Amino acid sequence: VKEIRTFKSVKIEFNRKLTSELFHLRLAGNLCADFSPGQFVMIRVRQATDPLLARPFSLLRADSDGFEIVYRVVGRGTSILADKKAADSVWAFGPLGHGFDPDANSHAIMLAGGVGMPPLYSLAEAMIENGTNPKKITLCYGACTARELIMTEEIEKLDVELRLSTDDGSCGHRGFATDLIDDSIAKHATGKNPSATVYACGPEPMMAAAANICREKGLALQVSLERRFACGFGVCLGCAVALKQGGYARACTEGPVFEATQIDWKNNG
Amino acid sequence: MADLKVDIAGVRLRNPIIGASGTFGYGAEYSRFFDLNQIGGFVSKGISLLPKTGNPPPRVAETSSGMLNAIGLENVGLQTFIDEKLPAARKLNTRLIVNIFGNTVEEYAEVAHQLGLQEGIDALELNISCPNIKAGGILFGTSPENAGLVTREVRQATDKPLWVKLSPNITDIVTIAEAVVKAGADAVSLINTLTGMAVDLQSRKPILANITGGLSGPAIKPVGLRMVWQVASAVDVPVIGIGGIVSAQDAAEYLLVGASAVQIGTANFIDPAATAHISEDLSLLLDDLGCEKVEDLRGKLKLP
Repeated sequence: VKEIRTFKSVKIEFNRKLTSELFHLRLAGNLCADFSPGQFVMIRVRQATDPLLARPFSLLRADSDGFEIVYRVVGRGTSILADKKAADSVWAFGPLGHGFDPDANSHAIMLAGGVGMPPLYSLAEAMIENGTNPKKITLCYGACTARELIMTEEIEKLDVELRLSTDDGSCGHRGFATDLIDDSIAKHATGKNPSATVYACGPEPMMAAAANICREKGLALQVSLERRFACGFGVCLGCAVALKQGGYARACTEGPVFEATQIDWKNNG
Repeated sequence: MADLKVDIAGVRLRNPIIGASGTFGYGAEYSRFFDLNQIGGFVSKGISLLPKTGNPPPRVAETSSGMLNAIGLENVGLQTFIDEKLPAARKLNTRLIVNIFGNTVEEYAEVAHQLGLQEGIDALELNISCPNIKAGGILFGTSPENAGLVTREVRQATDKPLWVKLSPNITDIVTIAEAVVKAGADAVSLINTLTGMAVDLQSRKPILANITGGLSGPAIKPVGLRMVWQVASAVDVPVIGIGGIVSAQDAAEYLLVGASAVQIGTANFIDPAATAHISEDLSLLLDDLGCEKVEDLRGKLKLP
């Protein structure tokens, strides 16, 4: 039998509404069981051709029974996904892309902005599973307002140092999550041998600001970038990320996680 | 089982399903999804004399049953293609057609000449129709004189079978098709993408950094069918149909209006094995239609 690997029909186990716009989706099956944090899965909501393209989502969690994402409703594709119920089917393909490359020997400072939280949750969980002391992980998690800070109970169970911020001050620090990493760097990466690595996922301006901070402090920063793309497996060349050395890399293949020093922050979308 | 073999100006394909340029990488990207000996062939990403980095992002936008792209002809350039991509591509046990473009007639001819010296390339496809970059060929593809000129020069630069890929962004595609056939094209492939745009009301900005892009996908199939029918009715060389094919039914419709083979583009993005699936389904569909071979359907449109 000639093997053909492509999108597979998968059943929804649950599709929980967390806020008016944020949903937590679990799909059945072992498709993404061997994923690494930062990798993504492509999901098509219909087999018909409208909407046409699959959408990429960072994985929150996966095991041999199922895999999970958190998504925000931003357009037609995600609106249709939000209407799906348990036992409905979608079409999924993954895991794809190049994820985080965690450094177990340095304090991990994670910067999560809004719906950028899931890959960092999975990174923290994987590092702890692999023997990292949860106290060596600081998760700085920011959102617009308190109700957009989701799954905080589950994050607290990781027992990492959790620092929250909201733009409107309704929970935690009033301001941006990038303010929190400044503090965390001062606390965990002081002295002559700063030993912290920063991992970030969220709005691109947030990650560009983090890149400035980390460059000044001499800290390594890994960023997970988001792009509009069509295929997810390296052929459409839609997901171009402008590089400092010139030219572009593909968010779906060389990324979505990049070293921040590779990125040309001025010329990206 | 229907016999799917076709002959495109001396290039024999095991079936009429071909991966389209710009959606099929350099071929090897697809070997992890299926064995490429299941399809007729593929057309590589467009190759230019020098590498091109392409356009800034965003480069793609979704539209109703379609998508816009403004990739900007990103490619590794002629030398890297020959050194690094071609050795893997020629091992794939399927027909390899290399798409080429240039900034000038001389560049087109040089790329064609160099590729003409390479083994394992079954045909060249001349891109005179990419709408994204002025230098990418639209200047050659929109006038019969220029289209004929570049085709003639490339024809003289190589002995490889020559396909010319036509733009739909013109007034009368038949005059362009006739001009390139007269200049020596062995086959014509059509249609390339239709120029379009998408805008965001909130930001009041175009979605693509390039402002405009090329529309592809099921939305353009009626335009492709109409143009293939017009061209196939007018020229004596094989016509390769392109535009919005996602199923064997779509492919068969193109054969019915006169295409000798078809190319699958955007469908590869939503199903990496689309070409393999369509190849398999087409054989069954021809059986259902009572056709023993592709010629039993090709151009058999009944007009009122």
